[in-house]
Amino acid sequence: MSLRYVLLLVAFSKVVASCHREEKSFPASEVSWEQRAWLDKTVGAILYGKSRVTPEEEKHLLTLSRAEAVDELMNRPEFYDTVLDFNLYFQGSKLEELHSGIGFSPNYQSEVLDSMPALVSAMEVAAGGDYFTLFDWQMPYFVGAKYIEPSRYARDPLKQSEIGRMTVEELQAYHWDQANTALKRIAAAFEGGAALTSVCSEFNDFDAIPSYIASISDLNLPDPFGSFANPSIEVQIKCGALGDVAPDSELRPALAEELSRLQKAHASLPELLGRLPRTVNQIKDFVRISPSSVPLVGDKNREGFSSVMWSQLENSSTNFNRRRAAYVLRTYFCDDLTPINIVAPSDHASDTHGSDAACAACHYKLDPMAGFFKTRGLGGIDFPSDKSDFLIHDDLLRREGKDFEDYLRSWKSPDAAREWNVGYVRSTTDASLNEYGEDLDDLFRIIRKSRESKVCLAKKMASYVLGAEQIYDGSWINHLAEKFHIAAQQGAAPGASSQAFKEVYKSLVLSETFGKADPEEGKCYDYAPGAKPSALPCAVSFIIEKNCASCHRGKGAQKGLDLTTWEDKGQGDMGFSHIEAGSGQPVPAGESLLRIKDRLSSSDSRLQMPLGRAMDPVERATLFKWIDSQLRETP
Amino acid sequence: MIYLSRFVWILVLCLMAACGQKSESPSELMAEGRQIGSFRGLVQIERLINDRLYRADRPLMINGILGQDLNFLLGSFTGGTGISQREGANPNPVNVLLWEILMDDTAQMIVGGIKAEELDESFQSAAKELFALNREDDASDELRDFWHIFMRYDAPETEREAWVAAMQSSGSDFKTEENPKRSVLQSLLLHPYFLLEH
Repeated sequence: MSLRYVLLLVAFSKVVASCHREEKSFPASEVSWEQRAWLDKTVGAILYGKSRVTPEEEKHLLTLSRAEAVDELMNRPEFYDTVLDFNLYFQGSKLEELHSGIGFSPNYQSEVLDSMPALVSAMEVAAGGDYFTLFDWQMPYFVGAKYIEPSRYARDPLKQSEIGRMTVEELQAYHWDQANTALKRIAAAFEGGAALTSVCSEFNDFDAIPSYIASISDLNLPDPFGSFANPSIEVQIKCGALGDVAPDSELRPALAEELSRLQKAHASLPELLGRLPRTVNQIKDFVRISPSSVPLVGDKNREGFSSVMWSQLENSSTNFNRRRAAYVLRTYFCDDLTPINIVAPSDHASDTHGSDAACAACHYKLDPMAGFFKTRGLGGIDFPSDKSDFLIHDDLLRREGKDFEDYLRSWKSPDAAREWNVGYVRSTTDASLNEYGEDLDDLFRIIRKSRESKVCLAKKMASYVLGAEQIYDGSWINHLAEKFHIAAQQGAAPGASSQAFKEVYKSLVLSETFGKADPEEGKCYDYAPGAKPSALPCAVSFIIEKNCASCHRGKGAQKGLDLTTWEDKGQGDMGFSHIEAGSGQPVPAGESLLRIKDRLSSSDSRLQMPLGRAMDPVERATLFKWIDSQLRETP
Repeated sequence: MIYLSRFVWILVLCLMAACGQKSESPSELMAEGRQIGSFRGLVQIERLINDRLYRADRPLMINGILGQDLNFLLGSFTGGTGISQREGANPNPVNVLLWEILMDDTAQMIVGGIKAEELDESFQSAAKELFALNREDDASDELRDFWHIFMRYDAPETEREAWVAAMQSSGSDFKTEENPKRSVLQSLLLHPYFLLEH
């Protein structure tokens, strides 16, 4: 072959290569870089775990309008993983990864099943059902794949090499047989007249089959064997784990019941396991089971809190469930309990620091919220006062008799209109603004109904999609939340809440903020329809407009303070237009901010602003914190 | 040269992360007057690498390189279900150094993947074309291809052109090293637009 042919071949191959390159990547086309970047970002925001679509899909999506592209992407199954991921984020249960492996192991992490409201409400969106199951307390049961992490068998008597050769079904059958033998041993001891304390020990030995227990807990079954321990906590207490052994007259029936329950649960498992898929890689594949198909401890329904939440947020003998209350306020109402000393409570739980003036600002909301959990003790176990005469705290302190009554009396209402001072408190001066109840069913009914929870949902969605550090205009968030509020009204169409979720998510992805390649975190880009950018910093402009501007606007502003202005006071100091009523002299910026701060935080109803009107505690806290930050910057 | 380039990257990232400055939140971190973001986090970075470079059935696992005990320093949700929160994402001298070590090993693993043909077809092909060129060749188009598959549209076009120009400059690792795969990959793996949220 001559050199001429070689050169021709090289030149030809370069031409072919360059044509090929143009086709497969960054084609010079009419579609702008910005539009392509937006599409990639949108794919990431909607299709959980993906950073791109196939070149063919990309080409197609780029022919659509942005709204059409979003609609199309939101119809794909990966979007429902995004919903699940957001729900976990909303609940404060965000996982680094929903799936237990990339590519080769498509099952979901077992923790997903521990936050049942997050999963169920994502499934509802996928089915066009009720998204607000996210706010439900009583949940249905779902279980996942029968897959078991091999690491669960670390303490197993089987050799690792043997495990490697066995199928999941064979492993579960092996462990079922092991458990069966143990149960027979317990039954023989109990029925053979052995000392009851030794039967208690036999029950504890049942826990010595960790792989079997693990194979059950991986499925996250509804506590067929007691998810915290074996035997159940109630039986452990009677067996003397937390004090004296109960008399035989109490212990014998408790052990008999426990044995019967375990035998029933054990017998029901093969049929249940046989129904489960080997893999669950889309949320629609989770299997719903009837609680009655597996005998439960106390036949309780599945509850809205994860087991980890119960164990991490303890009800100690001194905190009286306040950690759980703070979690609810932070999670469902976006109220981080900023202590701004705004009100003093008229009454308070005894033996607590809440009566201290500095603490009262939080406790007026915290204590009534904690009351929803008043019968919940160790690990979240319910010790209902009409059935139980004692409660065990997470620090293992046991209250019984009068001590238990005194503890419950902390939440007794001085108001004859209701028995308990338990509720979601918006105002200490106007009880009609508050929502009262007694137990966790009531709490979640309040959450489902309240406007604040919808605003919180919209805020957290914005934070999830646009970034936690980004500032948003309050009118825009309220505008988005209004869709949820309408969907929560009585008479709303079935599936209205799922539709609202999709619409809000779509609005966020189509927002100016999302479209910016590098948005400034201190700047608002989006406003409610009809709302205009204010001269005020957007972090607080909506709050001021809503709560203050009706009196503090323009030339006739009360006390000469115009809160609708934000101007340079010289030397770089920023402040509101503020004229001293008597002298007509301008009030220095620092002094002006200090006065506003005092009026916001005063507990004196004659001074507290807005005068004679309720202000959302979260908005008050936000404005207070912002004024405080400005004061620190002002000499 | 590799060690020098590693040092330079640490320095650049430390500067980007306002190395040594005390700051309360990522939003307050500034570099040359510009606000910078926090790290995307180990899981997100692993996901990007796999989604863009690897075949779905042959994923790359980088979360074991430093050991599980250090992963929480790289930006992750900790605390489990109930009360999880993001930690370690705020750039600081320690996690910048850890990212450098991690991405150095990751680059080596990807080089191994190119040899073993474990990678996504388009990336494998782009890598072959780029690294088959002679030093004196104009590699602009091949570099753009390589960048695109790796970075997609994470960075503005101007960043891509700056990177291509840097790679094409006579003193770059790409032009001077006998086997430049690792340093080219490092330059992308440690690119702020790849590692940081924005």
